[in-house]
Amino acid sequence: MAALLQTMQRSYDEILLGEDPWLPLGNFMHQFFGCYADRRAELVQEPLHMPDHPLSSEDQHWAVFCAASVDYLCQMYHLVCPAWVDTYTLHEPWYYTMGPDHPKVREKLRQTTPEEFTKRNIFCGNRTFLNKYEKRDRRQVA
Amino acid sequence: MMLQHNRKSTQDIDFALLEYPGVIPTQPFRAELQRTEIAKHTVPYAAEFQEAVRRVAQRHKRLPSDWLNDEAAIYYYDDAPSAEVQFWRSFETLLYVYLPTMPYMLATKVAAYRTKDRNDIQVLLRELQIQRREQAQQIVDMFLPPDTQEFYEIAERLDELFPE
Repeated sequence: MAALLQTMQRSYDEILLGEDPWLPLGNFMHQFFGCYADRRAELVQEPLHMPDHPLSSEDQHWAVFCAASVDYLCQMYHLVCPAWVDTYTLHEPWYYTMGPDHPKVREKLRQTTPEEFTKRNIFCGNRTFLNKYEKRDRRQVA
Repeated sequence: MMLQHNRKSTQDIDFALLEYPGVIPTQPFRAELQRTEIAKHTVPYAAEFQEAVRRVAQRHKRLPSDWLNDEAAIYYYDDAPSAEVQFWRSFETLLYVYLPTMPYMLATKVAAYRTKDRNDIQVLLRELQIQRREQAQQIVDMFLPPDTQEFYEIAERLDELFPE
């Protein structure tokens, strides 16, 4: 029996159901970089399901984070980026890190976060999609 | 983190082989990791191991076929080869499973420092009652050699974790 695809759509569904976001997103990453690397387009294609009621601030943040992630991954892995990601942005900056109020931390995030996130007002640095399947020997990439 | 009861696990469980410790210590102990790649059959009984992983995946429709894998073992072997572990349990006296201790997990997660690690790092800092940079550095020094610390910019990571 093949495992269910942990699409970004499914991942966001699970976030809305109250899962810690990095559980579904971790499962998404595991499939995207690991066992379903040959099905990447399928994993990002479908738009997020949006509930009828207004989203909480946190759920809005994660919706935009999911859209920015898809945009970023499509650029990085030469996939056709689905149009649905264009509709997501935050009105206020979100510094997603520990110590988000510290000026130095913010400055570092502004410098290092990929454009697909910054243009949506998310500042999370450039280490979000580091994964064990790539850069297998650090001494070769140093 | 799941087995330390701090959170649920993703469907991606990492393992690495240890040097056989002989008598199983009852307390946490340091053990050298072995560089293994199950996909290349450099793990003892690799075929049987893969078959067992696959069969479990077949029984659970949400599990990917590589839910238990040693893809990360190479990083631990290269970057933090002397793990601190504690015996967890054995399976039919054939398979002996050890869990990494929280200090070892903290050191390796500070090195990785991916966005998804940040919650885990916060939990580990709290559980280990680490409040100062020097305390964290002391733990990192136990497990990460200097060249590893330099490569992973540990000083910068600790600056971020403990801003002045």
